[in-house]
Amino acid sequence: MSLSGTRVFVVEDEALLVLALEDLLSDMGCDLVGHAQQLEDALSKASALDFDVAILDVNLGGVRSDPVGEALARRGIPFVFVSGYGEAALPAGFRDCPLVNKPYAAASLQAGLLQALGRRDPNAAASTAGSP
Amino acid sequence: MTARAGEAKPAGWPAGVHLLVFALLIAVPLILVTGALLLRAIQLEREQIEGRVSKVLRGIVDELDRDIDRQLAVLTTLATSPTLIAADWPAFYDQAKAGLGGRAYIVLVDRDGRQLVNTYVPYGQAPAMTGDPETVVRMRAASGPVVSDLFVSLVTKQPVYNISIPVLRDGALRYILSIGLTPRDLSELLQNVEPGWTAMIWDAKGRILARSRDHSRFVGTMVPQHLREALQSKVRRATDVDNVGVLAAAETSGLSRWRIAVGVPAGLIDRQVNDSLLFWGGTIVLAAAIMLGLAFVFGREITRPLAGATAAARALGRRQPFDVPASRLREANAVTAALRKAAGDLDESSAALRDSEARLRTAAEAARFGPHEYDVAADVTIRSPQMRRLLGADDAAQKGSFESGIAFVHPDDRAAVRQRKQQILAGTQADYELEYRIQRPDGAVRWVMDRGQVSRDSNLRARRVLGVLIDISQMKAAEQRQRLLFDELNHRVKNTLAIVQSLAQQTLRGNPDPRAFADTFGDRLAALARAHDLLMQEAWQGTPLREIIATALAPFISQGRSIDISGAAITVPAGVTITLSLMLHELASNAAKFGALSVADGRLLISWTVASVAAGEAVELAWVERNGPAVVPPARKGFGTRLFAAGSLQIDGRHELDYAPEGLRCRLNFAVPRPEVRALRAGYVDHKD
Repeated sequence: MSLSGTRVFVVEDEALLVLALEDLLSDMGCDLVGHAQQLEDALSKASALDFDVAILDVNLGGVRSDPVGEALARRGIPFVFVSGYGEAALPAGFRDCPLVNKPYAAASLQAGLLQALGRRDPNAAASTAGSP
Repeated sequence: MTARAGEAKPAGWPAGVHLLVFALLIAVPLILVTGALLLRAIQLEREQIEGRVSKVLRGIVDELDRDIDRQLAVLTTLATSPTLIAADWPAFYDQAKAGLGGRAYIVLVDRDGRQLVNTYVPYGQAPAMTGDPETVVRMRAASGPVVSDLFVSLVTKQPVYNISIPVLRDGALRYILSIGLTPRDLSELLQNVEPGWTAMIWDAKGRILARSRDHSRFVGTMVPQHLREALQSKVRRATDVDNVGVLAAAETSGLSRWRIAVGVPAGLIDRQVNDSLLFWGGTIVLAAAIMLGLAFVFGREITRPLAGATAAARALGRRQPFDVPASRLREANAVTAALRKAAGDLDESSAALRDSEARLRTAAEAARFGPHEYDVAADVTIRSPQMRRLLGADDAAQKGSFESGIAFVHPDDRAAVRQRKQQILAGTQADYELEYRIQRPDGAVRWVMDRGQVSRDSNLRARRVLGVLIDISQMKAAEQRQRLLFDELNHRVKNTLAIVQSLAQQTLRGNPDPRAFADTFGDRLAALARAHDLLMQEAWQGTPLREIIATALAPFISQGRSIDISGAAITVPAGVTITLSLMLHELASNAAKFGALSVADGRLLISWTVASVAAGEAVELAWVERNGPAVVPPARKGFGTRLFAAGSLQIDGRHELDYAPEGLRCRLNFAVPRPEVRALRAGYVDHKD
């Protein structure tokens, strides 16, 4: 399954990681429609920009990115969490979201994005409908 | 000592009663035996008196008979007198009178009763006939000695009696020779009886011949028929002629028809018996009285110390002081001593208990734990003051129920705690330990450890729970801080690794040649490491801007190089230190390769201004290179350019790169939020109270 042409929105506070993501996404044929490094910026762009999937760093310079996740969930746009904290760092409501652990290789990021996008599949959606 | 009101009288009898019974058990048989002995003694005394009466009576009878015998001997002698045989009466008169010596007189009558000789009167003046015809009659009937009854003498006109013998001629009665005697002689015979006793002689007709007492008054009078019948050889009770009650016996004389009686006044014997009775009875009564008195005295000797010991025990029971004087009863003294020791021990142990309670209280305060006790059956919890303080509850919460305790639990933990506690009560375990949050009435949330012991009955049903509530909020907070630190450390390591990974990727894009890659990547990695050093120096709390600049420039500044660094002191948050360091590293690295730092005359001016704005401080940093080689704008977007684009976004600022020919200029604007704003944005969950 190709990610070619997929429009991606990135929320990541570390400038260098944004650069890395730009390169990785570009290599995958994705289209980076925007990125945000701070919560306010991320929130406004999450609702304003038009994209297929988002990559969310769990921690934005000490600020949790949960609100962005909630906003995206409301819009029905899938997303992937990236974190150095591991599974436990995921907000209670997002435990079954795809998580890509830092530092990440291209393959794990791609798998995460595919998993997130797969959620648009009706069968996959049913399996997580019961989550709070 | 008075029994307290409402105090039941103890069962049993007092010691005094026991002693009295004891005394009676000894005294009553003694009294009975003594009484029996007394009665026996009285009987013996009576028998002794009776024996003496019989003996005295026998003696008198014997003496009377001997006396009669003597008179008969005199008469027998006279009867053989030749003058009598010759019937020479004047000569016989003289002979008889001389022989008697005047004490008695002799009368001789013939067989018809005619007087022949009578020595009482001068010879020839004797009365014609005998005054005692009965003797003549008896003599004719049976020839033998005769002692007459009492009769009145014809001559003397006095009561007299005769002792007579027959004088025979040729076997036939010819004369009767009598000796006439007065009863006074007999009364002398009776004078030998013991004092107070009486003796009496009466003839066959019942006429009194002699009496030991009041002889002249009673002589010649009749002994009443009933008295004569009453007086037999066995001693009996009778009424004497003088109406005195007597114990008396009587015998008949062997030589006469007379009866002799000896009597002891009953009064005399009764008095003796009464005296004995009085003496012994008195002795018994006195002994009994002494016994009872002693029982009472000894009873008091026992009951008083016992009462003292009892009072002491009661006082001890009420935890009151007591003072019991020493008694003569060793057991009571032992009891009192034991009580005194018990009181001492009790004082000591209660003092120790008070001390330990006080210590426990202090410990409870210091350790912030609150004891509580739960009575399962009654559903009543008693909460200590420490517990109430911990719960933030007032005194009204001293007593509560299971549910009232659950109400203190934080709403999020409440259902679980209730379920767990119910499980513990229904289970079989003894110890339990729970950790949960409580919410005080004022809203404060605290972490507590609830640990305790369940005591159970033989069916393992929970009866009582003794527990303590321990405030572990600080421990929990420390635990949480530690967990946060570990999480943060993990995050930072992972993040740093991601940064390193990104650096490697970016460096590789610009430097495909391995050697060039190694050099550049090594420099960038070193810059990253120095930035970390800065963060560590300031404990991740942010870094002074001057330090960041100096550190970033350090590898590129050779001796004597002139660099102007000026600006107000400002601390940059930890989150942007690395990005800012790497950005400055790229500028410095570029300057060293192509710019002002690549030539000896090149100059570098770094300055910044700080202005207060609403969210904190706005920093404007200027990087100005001069006297360097001519600047050529880069043909393509390199790592530095991209880093600045992304980096200025991260530090909430903007940048301006001016590739002026005389020297590179860079202006960097960024904001340093105030600490509290930073904290807010960091979204710390602060667990401090």
